[in-house]
Amino acid sequence: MRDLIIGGAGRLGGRVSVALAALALLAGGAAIAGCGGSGKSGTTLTIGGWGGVIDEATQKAYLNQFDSQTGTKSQFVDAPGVQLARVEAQNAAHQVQWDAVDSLDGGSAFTLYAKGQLLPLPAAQRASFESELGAQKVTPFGFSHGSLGDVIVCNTEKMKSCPSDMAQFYDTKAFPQPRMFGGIEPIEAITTAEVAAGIPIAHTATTPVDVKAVLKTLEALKPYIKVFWQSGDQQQQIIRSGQVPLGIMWSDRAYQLISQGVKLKVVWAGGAYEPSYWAVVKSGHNAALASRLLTFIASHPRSQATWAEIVHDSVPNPRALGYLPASIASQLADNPVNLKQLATPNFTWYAQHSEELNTAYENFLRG
Amino acid sequence: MSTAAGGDGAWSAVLPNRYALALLAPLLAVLLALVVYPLGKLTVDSLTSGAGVGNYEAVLSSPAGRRALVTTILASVLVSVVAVALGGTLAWQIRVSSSRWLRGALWLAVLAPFWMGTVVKNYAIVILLSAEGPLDRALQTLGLGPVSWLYTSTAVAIGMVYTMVPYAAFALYGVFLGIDRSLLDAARGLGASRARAIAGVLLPLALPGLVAGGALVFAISLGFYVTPVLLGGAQAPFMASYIQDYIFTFYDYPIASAASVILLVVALAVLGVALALVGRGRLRRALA
Repeated sequence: MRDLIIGGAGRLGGRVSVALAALALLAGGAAIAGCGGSGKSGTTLTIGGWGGVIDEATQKAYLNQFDSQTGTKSQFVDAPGVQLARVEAQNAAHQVQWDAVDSLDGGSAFTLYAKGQLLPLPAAQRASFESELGAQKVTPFGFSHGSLGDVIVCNTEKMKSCPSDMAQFYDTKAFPQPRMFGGIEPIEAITTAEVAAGIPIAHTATTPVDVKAVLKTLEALKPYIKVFWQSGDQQQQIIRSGQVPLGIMWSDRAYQLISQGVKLKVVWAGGAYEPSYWAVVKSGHNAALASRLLTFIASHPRSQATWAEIVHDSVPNPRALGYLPASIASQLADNPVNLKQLATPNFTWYAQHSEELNTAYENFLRG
Repeated sequence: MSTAAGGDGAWSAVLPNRYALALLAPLLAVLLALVVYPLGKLTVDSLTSGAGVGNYEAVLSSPAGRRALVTTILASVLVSVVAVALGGTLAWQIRVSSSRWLRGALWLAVLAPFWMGTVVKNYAIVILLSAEGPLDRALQTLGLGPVSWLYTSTAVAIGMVYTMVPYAAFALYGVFLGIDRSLLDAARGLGASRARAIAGVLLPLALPGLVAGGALVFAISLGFYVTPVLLGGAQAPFMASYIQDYIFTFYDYPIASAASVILLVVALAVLGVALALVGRGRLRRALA
C-alpha cells in the first residue's frame, strides 16, 4: 500500500516532481474554480491518491458509481507516500487543491489532523460510521481503509524454525539470521519493539512511547538487520533474491510473494497494525461533496469487497469480508483472526511527538 | 549569417555581440529562472526560515546528518578517482586503438550506461550482486564465496562508478584528442619505458582534463539518490536520502534547505580547488 516510486517523478528528482505536481495542482485548481461549489453537476473532486492499482481500484469500486450518481467528475493527483508533505505544502501556500485523501497512512493522517488540516467528522456522520463499520475503524477525521499488517515473514526453505511471535523475532540468540526491517514509518517500526519489550498488544495504542527504551531495543537488533527497506517492491526483491531469510514486511506484499511460489511463513502475532484513512481535507473546495464520498464508501460493503479483491489490502466494513473469497479474506489485517494479534501504534502520541521520533529514528537508521 | 561580421561586408563566423546576446537570451532566461533563482531562494530560505543559521547547526550536529555528509563526500571522492581511472583508460584506448572493432566495442561500453534508465541500471547490479546471483555463484565455484555485497557500501560504490565512468570517459576523450601522440613516440624513442612515457608526458598534458573530469564526476556523485537506496538500503547514509526524508517524510523544508546548501557549497569548493590546481585557462580549455 505504501509503495514509494523510486525513480521517475517520485522520490527521485523531488524538486522536479514537486514542480510538476504544482503545475498539475494549479491546473486542477483552475478546473475546480471553473466548476463552482460542492454538489453541483460537473464538479471536480480532487483526491490525493497513490497511483497505479490503488487508483484503479478506487475508480472501479467507488468512483464510477459515485460520480454517475452525483454528477461529479473525480480525479486523482498521485502522491504515493508523500501525501502529508503535499497537504502541508498546499496549506503553507494557502492553495488547498485536494478535497480528500485516499487511504492516507495512519502516522500522516493523525499528524495532519493534529495540525488542523483534516476536517473533523460531524457528530452524526461519525455515529453513522461507527454504527456501520465499528468504533475501532473510525477516528475523529475519517475511517480506516486499505489497512495492512507489518508481519514477520520467514523463508521456510532457508530457516529450520521460524519465530512464532515478535519477542522471538527480536531474540537474536535464538534467531541470529540476517533480517530486514522497516526504514520508513517510524511509529509502526517502534511498535514492534514495544511488543518485543513486553508491552501487551492491547496497550500499545494508548501507552506513551518511551523513545529511549524502544531505541535501546532496536539498537540491540540493528547488528542483525542486513537491510532496511523503503518500499513494498524492495521488500519483495530482498526476500525473492534470498538476501535475507527473515524480516518484517507488509502483509499484502508477503502474500503476493507466496502466490508467486516463495516459501514464506507469515506470522501475525505481535505485528504492527498499519491502518490507512479516508479523510476530507480541510479548506478544500468541495468539502461537502468529499464528505458524501466518504459516506458512500463506508456504506457500500460490496464495493469495498471489490476494492479489497483488487488491491488485497483490508477494508473497514465487517460485511465486506463476507463478500470476499475466503483465501483473500484470511489475508486481510481487519480479519478478526489477524487483527486480534496485531498491536496498534499510538498515533495520538505520534501526532504530538512526530518530530522527536522522526529525528531519533533517522539517527538510529543512518547515524 | 554571411554578412554577420562588421561593416566591411567580409564574412566572419563570429557574430556581433548584439546578435549573440539575442540568441543567448532565451538560454540565459532559463538559467536565471531554473538555476540562479531557485538556488538563491534555497540559500535565503535556509538562512531565514525555521531556526535560521540554526538549521545548519541542526544538520551538522545530528549524527545522521554528519554521517550522511561524510559518507557522501568520501564516496564521491572514491567514485571520482575510480571513474576517472577507468574512464581515462577507456578513452585513451579509444584514442589510440587502430582496430575499428575494438573502438566500436569500447564506445559501446562507454555508451551502454546512457541507454538504460536509472532504475533499470541499478536493478541490473542488484541481480548481479545478490545472494546466489551470478557473481556470488562464480566466487563460490572458485571457492571464494559465498560473498554478499548487496546492501553494502561496496555495492553502492560499484553502482555509482558504473554510472559515472561514461562522464569521465567523455570528458577525457576530448582531452586525449588534443594530445599529440608523436610526443609519446618521441619519449619512447629517447629510451623512456611505457610507464615513464605515460607518467612523464601523457599525464601532465592530460592533467587539466583529469581534474576537470574528476570535478564533474564528484559534483554529480554528490546528488546520487536511487543508487544508495537500491544498492545500500534505507540505512545508506547519503545526503540525498537525508534531504528527501526532510522534504517528503518530515516536511521540514528549513533543514532540507540547509542540507542542500551544504552540498552546494561542497561542490563549489571542489570546483574552486580544481581551479586553483590547474588554473582557470587550462581548466576552461579542458572542459571546452
